[in-house]
Amino acid sequence: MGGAAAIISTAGFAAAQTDLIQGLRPSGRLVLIAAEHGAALQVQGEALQFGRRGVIGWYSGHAKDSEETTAFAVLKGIRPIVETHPLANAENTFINMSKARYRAVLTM
Amino acid sequence: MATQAMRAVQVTKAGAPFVCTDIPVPEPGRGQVRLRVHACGVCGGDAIARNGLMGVTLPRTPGHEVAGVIDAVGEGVTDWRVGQRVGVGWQGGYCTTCEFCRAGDFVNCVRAQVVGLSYDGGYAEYLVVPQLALARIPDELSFEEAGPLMCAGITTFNALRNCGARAGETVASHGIGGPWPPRRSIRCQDGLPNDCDKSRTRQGSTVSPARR
Repeated sequence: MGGAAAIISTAGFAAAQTDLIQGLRPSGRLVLIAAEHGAALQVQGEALQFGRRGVIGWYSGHAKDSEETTAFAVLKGIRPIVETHPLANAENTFINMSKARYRAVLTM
Repeated sequence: MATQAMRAVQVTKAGAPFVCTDIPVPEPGRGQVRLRVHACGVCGGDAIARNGLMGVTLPRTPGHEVAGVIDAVGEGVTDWRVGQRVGVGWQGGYCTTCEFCRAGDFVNCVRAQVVGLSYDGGYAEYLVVPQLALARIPDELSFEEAGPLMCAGITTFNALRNCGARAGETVASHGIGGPWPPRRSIRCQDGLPNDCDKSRTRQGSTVSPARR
């Protein structure tokens, strides 16, 4: 098995996420923040039980978590890389979301 | 003071293209505030409203990565004032009385509201939200930067800080999915080992286990 205390998976692709479990060290966790609709991960129970590994999911948070996210961004000098589009172009911006570098943002 | 009408993008029919239209500026009710929206990120989750899923009623304005300024406050709002820079994300309100809320697990509220699904979201010049949904935005962040932190950013940051890994341990990131832009910077600057980079991969491909 591997050496990661945690693996954060942002790509909803069940086959790849299944493989990632091999990268966990004992007590490591695979955290899914994206999921493939209708697809199942294949997990060897022994890999979880012996070594106390885990596969968990996560999304979002409440408003105070958002405040702490922005505070952390300021503290560490982190900024998302965004491209802006006018509100009137929402349809095209949505359709081309996956081509954005990296997050498309509508401005009013 | 707001004008009487505003530009807004709506889902009018499930699965159909968005419609940009003029609708009345909403008024904040008790416990609610109105935001003048400056920026709203475009998220894959907006497809839920677009496709009429999760019981959404139409027409509906999508958008849950909202950043703006408080424009008006409703009755009973005491801790928020006009002019504050605030953001709104996916979590659009919770009941405070259910089993999960009583334990502080607001995200799993059985009556949770979602911005842009339960009520109109940020693809508009104004929106009205419960005060519970508001997050302050530091002056150092632009509205365009703050918007995506309300969904993509919080999801990654919260997942990372709740995953059980401690400072100095190896954390690998997989993929360049929606939450990628904020996450990339977090990984590089959070004091995590540089060999996290070895696990970086293209979306959908297999990752090599990160090693200490």
